[in-house]
Amino acid sequence: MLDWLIGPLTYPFMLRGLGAAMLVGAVCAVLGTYVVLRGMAFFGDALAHAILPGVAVAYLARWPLSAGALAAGLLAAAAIGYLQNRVREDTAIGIVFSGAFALGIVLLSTVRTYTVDLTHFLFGNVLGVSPADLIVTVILSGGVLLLTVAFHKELVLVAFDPVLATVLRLPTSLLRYLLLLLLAITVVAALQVVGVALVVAMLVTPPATAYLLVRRVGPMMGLAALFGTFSAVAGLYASYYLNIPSGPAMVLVCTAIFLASLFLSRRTGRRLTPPPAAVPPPPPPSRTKFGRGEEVRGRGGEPVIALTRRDSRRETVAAALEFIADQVDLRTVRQVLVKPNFVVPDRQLAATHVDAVRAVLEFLRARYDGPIIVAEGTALRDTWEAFANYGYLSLPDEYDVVLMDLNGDETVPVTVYDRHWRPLTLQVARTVVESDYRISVCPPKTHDTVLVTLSIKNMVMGALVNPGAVREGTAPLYRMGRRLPTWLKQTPPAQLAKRLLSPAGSHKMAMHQGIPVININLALAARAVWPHLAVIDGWEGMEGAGPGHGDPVPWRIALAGTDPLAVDALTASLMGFNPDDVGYLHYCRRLGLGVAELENITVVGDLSPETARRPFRPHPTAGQQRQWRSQEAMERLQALGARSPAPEVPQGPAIPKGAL
Amino acid sequence: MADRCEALRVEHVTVAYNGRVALRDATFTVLGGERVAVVGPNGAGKSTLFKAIVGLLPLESGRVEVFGCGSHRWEPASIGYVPQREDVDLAFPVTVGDVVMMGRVRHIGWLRRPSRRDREAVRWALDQVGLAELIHRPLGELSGGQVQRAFIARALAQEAPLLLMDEPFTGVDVASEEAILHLLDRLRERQVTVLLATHDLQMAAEWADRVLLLNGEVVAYGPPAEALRPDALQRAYGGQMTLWEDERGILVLGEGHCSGGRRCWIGSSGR
Repeated sequence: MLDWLIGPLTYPFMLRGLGAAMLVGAVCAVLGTYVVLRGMAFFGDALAHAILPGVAVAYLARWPLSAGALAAGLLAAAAIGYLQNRVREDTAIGIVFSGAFALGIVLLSTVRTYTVDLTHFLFGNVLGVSPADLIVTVILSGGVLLLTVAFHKELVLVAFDPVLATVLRLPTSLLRYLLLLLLAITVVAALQVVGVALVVAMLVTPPATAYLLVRRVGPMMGLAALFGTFSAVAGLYASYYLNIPSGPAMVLVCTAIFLASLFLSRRTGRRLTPPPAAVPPPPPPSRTKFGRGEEVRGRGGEPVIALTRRDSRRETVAAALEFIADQVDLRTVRQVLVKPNFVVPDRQLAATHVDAVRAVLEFLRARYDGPIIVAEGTALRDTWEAFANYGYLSLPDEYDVVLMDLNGDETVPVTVYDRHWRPLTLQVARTVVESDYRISVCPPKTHDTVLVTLSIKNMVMGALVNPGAVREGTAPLYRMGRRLPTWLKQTPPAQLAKRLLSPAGSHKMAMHQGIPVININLALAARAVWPHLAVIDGWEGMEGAGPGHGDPVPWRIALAGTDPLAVDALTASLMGFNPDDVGYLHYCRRLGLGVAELENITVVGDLSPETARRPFRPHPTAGQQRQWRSQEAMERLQALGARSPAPEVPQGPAIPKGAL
Repeated sequence: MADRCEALRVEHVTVAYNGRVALRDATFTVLGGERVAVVGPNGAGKSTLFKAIVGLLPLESGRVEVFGCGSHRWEPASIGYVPQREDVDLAFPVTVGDVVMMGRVRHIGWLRRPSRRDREAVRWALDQVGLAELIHRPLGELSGGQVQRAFIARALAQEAPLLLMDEPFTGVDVASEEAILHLLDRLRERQVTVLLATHDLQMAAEWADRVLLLNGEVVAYGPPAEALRPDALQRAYGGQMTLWEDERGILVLGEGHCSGGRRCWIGSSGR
């Protein structure tokens, strides 16, 4: 065994070759550590190839090869540095590298022994190392190692964080040039041992191997040097005994060690990437608690609706509430929800006026001192913007209530239909479902899909969460679009644009599944969030292009009652609509959620329905909106156990009994 | 305090970034030991200002003067800078201690190795950010907030009298946020001048001695109650923010302006 090791060393050329190979293996690995850490492998390879013309010129002129190589290396580095101001760095490297390499081959081809010489330059000729060559290698390697040790901490800092290096006013450019110079010298030193074609392997593979095994730069460098030296020696012996070229043999040993440590590091679980961030625990499953229409409807018998007109909005609403105060039972209530209607944050006419809410809160606080939540979720933009714009922000101080954005609430699922009558699950705000006294406060408005929007629709649509309400960029476009003439809005491009621009993830938008389906969906979803008290603030209504862009109707009335369907049906008739023409009111009646037959409603208050009646100009598309009746919907309704169709409610001004 | 010296003077500084003027004619002075919150919308020039002060971006015009307030000469290490998001390779084979030691490079000096004094400074800095026990941990094994704290520790290890922190609370966990806030209080005791860029107007109003409100230029500069007036905020933020003012102060509404959520009071009596 010892003979096997010592045997080759009896030849002086083997001894010199071994010395040069060990030195080169070590110095390549040390400098290669920076190359790996800075991702300069391609640059190193290019530099190695680019020294070929310098070697060729020195060879032809009989100068020392190292001098020529070094000159060419520095020239190439400078050329790359200049070119990368004009083209990308990797492109610059590619241009210089291939151009210089081609020039080197052409120069060498003028020599008679072209093939032999080229092979030596490309793949090294470690056994041809002369005593003079060895001395040059020792000087170059020693110089590189010395400079590396001297500037190690600065070189590592520039490699790791150039920003800090600049902040600390280190000469970053000089350090970069130093590294390039060291790299050029290393490549020249390695030329005779492994040749230009394979020097990059000696630069990159040992440090990459060490990187897999240790976690600090210093140990990585030391281990890389060990691997590099060992590969050089082992490669040389392999070359001697197996009669294979020495350069490729060294590179193959390097590669084998890399593969072994790759396998080893897998086995020992060394992480190369940061551990994944901790995944937050999923929220606890939500409890579902639906109020059913029948349970929350209150006492049986005929509904009594208050209809008032006073000197101000607040007094009018307050008076309406006082007329039906005996029906409001808050004794066992744990949490009251007051639901105004905002639609968008910046259009007061479309929104519930704060004074109407004040009247409701005043009424409540005289009877109830538990928690009250004033909650709404706008369809577009930020609910808090609406709270601010509409003057709601002082309510918490005035009445000890809590303001809440329903769009950010936890949710519970509610099942409705999509446009193909498949079940569709939407999310409603949990606070609305779990409040055990829900009050809907809204203005009467015409609507672009369901003829009118009143207390029931206000509660349902507000409860559907709209997590994407704030899609800042598109909101202005969306609003602009809504102001377009109706005929234009109905063109296919406009419809497509509307769908693209409407807020993402909005369960409000998802409710709209075509005119037949939206009406039944409203009734189905209403069962989960049925209001206990409905307040219509008709001080100012909206006609025409409601619910957002209609015209004001100075009406100066208010309605209130504990049967929201009765309140909505009566209000609709006062606005000039037949309640049974309004699809969702029809379905609510069929589902037994309340009383919609006007002759069964008792009206109390300041004025008679006949006096209060003020026909609203319908939405321009009202004709289409009336086409909600569909065979499919009727069948679905039967399956849900709805009541059989009631006799047609007569059209025209309804005069409920008990009118004043 | 009348005897306070100037720590930083920025005079008519204009900085262009990718050919576009990102900060125009900025002038302000910071006194030693002061805490300055730099606020403004995205793209207002907060990061640009910091980069210009530390020399990462060239000045188109104007000048920046940094005075080693308390020490006699301006040393290369006298600005600590914690960039917004460290654009570094977390797989780089360094430990937390190695990273912090990098802040000491100028103290150590050329051709020298770290002394006992340097190692003590690294320990102290890691102690300040609550990472002392992680000194031998590879950087790649830290959480995002811990990485941020390690880079703050590196700036501390510089022992700089002027510290610039760009959005240090962005993307950090609660523990890291508390550690950083606690640290800021202790820096005050050590008379370190701190400039902190933040989105959080509430934090700016409550924490800072002075607020620098930017929007491509200096919109307002002064104590929070003077700089964070509705008109100035409106000029800086335009439509990105909704304001409501009453006797309690100014209520700010909108995404990202408040630490607690979508809204906060920044008035003096509104807390």
